[in-house]
Amino acid sequence: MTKYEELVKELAPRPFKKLGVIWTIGLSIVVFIGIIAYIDQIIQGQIVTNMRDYVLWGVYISNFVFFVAISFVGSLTAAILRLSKSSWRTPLVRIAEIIAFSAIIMAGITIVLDMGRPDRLYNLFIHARLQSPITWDVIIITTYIFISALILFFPLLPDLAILKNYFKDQPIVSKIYAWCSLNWTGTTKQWAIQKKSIKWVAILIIPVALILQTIDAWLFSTTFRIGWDSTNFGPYFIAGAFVVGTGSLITVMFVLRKVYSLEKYITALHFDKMGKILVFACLVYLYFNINEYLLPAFTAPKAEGEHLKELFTGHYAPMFWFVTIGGLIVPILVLVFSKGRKPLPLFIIAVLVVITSWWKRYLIVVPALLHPFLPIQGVPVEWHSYFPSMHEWAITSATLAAALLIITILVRYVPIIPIHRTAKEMGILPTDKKEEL
Amino acid sequence: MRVILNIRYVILLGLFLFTTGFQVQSQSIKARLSVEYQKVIGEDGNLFINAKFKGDDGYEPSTQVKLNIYQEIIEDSTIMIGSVVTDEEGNANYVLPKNLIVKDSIITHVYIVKIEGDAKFKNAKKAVKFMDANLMAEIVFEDSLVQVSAMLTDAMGEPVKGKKLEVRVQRLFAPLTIGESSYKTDKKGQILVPMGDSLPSIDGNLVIEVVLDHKKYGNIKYVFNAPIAKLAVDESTFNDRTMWSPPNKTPLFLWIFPNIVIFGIWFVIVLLISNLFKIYKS
Repeated sequence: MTKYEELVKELAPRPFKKLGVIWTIGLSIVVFIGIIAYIDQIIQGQIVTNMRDYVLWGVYISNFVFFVAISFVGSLTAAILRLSKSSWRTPLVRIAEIIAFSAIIMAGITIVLDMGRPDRLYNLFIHARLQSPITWDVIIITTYIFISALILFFPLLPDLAILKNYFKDQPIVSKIYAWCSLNWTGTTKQWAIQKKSIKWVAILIIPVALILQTIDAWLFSTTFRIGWDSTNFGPYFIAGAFVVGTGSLITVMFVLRKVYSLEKYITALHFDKMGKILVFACLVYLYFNINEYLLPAFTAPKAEGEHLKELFTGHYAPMFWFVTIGGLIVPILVLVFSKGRKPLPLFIIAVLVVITSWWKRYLIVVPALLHPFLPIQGVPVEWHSYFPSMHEWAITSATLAAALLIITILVRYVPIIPIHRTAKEMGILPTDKKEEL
Repeated sequence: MRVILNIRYVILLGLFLFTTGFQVQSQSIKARLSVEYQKVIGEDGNLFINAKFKGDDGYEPSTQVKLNIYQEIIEDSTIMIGSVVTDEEGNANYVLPKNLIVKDSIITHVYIVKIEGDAKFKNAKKAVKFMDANLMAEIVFEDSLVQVSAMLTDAMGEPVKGKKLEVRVQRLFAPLTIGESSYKTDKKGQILVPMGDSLPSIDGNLVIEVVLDHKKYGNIKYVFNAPIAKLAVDESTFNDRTMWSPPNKTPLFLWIFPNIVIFGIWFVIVLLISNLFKIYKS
């Protein structure tokens, strides 16, 4: 067996072992429970949620913002590292592209879940106002789904062709890979078109990702609400997405490295580099957090002051400080040291970053809504507080599980690490496959 | 035997007529009338009449009721001068021509409104008594202070003292009272009311009305235009293309630039998808 054949064998998709099967079934069960809860929500209406006139965007929108933020990882690594021709990027880009694709798909679905009745999506098109950030959001999410799919698919073509040959003893599987590879034979023309397309899509995804995050921020900051009325919100969201995107990439990288024994390809160097990116992202995000909270604390009118008090010392203080310290301060303190950027500590920090990032979105959405822009008289007591109902938790958990399920399925059938590119870098590419990716 | 049968028919017929007549009588409803004399100086006076009855759900308007108007000439001697029919709200206006009101400060004018022979309502009547009076008003400027000066006189032009006048400005939904709720006329029959801060209006004019609402004189109003308003500038953006307009009034820059960006991005996406076909074909 040649080195190239060995490489293909190591990087080709493999059937799940027992743990993988349990994992997939577990995720499917969570998704199934969520679907049942959603059907019940459609039948009974959104009364089954705890969203009322005050908190009308609850955990669904928090979750939506989280997914949108995670999808930023696609442009972060896939595009920036591609365009900057970073040599160490190879084992990471496809994982980033897979995460981005699954996250943006689930972001789109989560919006529909929040609408109550899915047929209301149609209203977004027929009654669309171009002045509304919600219209822009619908357009940009649809656009980003396509671009994420394209940036995932174009570099996959040579690998799919390799898999077609690799699975030639399984005719059906081989045929599917052949169909998916679009008859890729590696001709000069095909390489030229593919190379040009990857460059275009890598350039395109960066502004689109920035627009996506900014529009996501504008959904809030154009509403005049206490806690959201901020000119800082666009870059604040981009910085936050940078953090959670990197955190999620490191988490998935670590898990896949362990499960598929990819230590040879995803090395400590990759973790060190990603750790540096994460600490940089956290520092930038910390800077925007200081801007977002410290200046209003000095200049806040009464209502804004109450909102900040609620976050700093009030009902949401434990969550706020957990998110700020756990999601920003601790990662910075740990990751500035090289020992903190070793795979395991970095993985633990990345998991912490992802969890705190989810709650961060909850903190952005919910407490601000508890301070209504216009006072309402005779408000029932239960409107003054919000915590998601069981239906909301079931549906939200299902969306998170569905995102992981998409990643799991893609990982099962698509090479996690680009085979052709890796072979090229290792100098073991057979002469008939010598074209540049 | 035939006589007995005839007597029976007569008794049954009598009973039928009696009960039918009783039912008609019992269906007549008592209407309540109210009459007010109203006069805008320079125009004909009129009798504002309201007719209502107590129904199952409280007072309800007596609609389409013919009301006869009588003028009392000498005591207990009346002549019918006209009739009106109430509208859907039970209201009716009867215009009193100017020549009917004799200019004399001691004459009390009496008009009687009657419901007579109505199928639904019982006969009813209501009288209104009033003495003629005159009201004049104007704007006076005194040391840059804008004031409304009004004078109340009787039919012979003599000042009427101690009567309450209200000064107000006509607005879209209801008049706006200026200053106190009312001002008492002095011995010259006059009041002087400062206008305070200038009010806005579309053409710079305010329509001011001075109102006397008195049992003896009825409701008398003097209405005049005063060019003392602050010219209101229409700041409505209803017809403009704004960020808060409906879709058909989207600002043009929002049509142009985002669409350039969106179509630009999608043009590239379509090219990229066509590249996939090219790869497939090559």
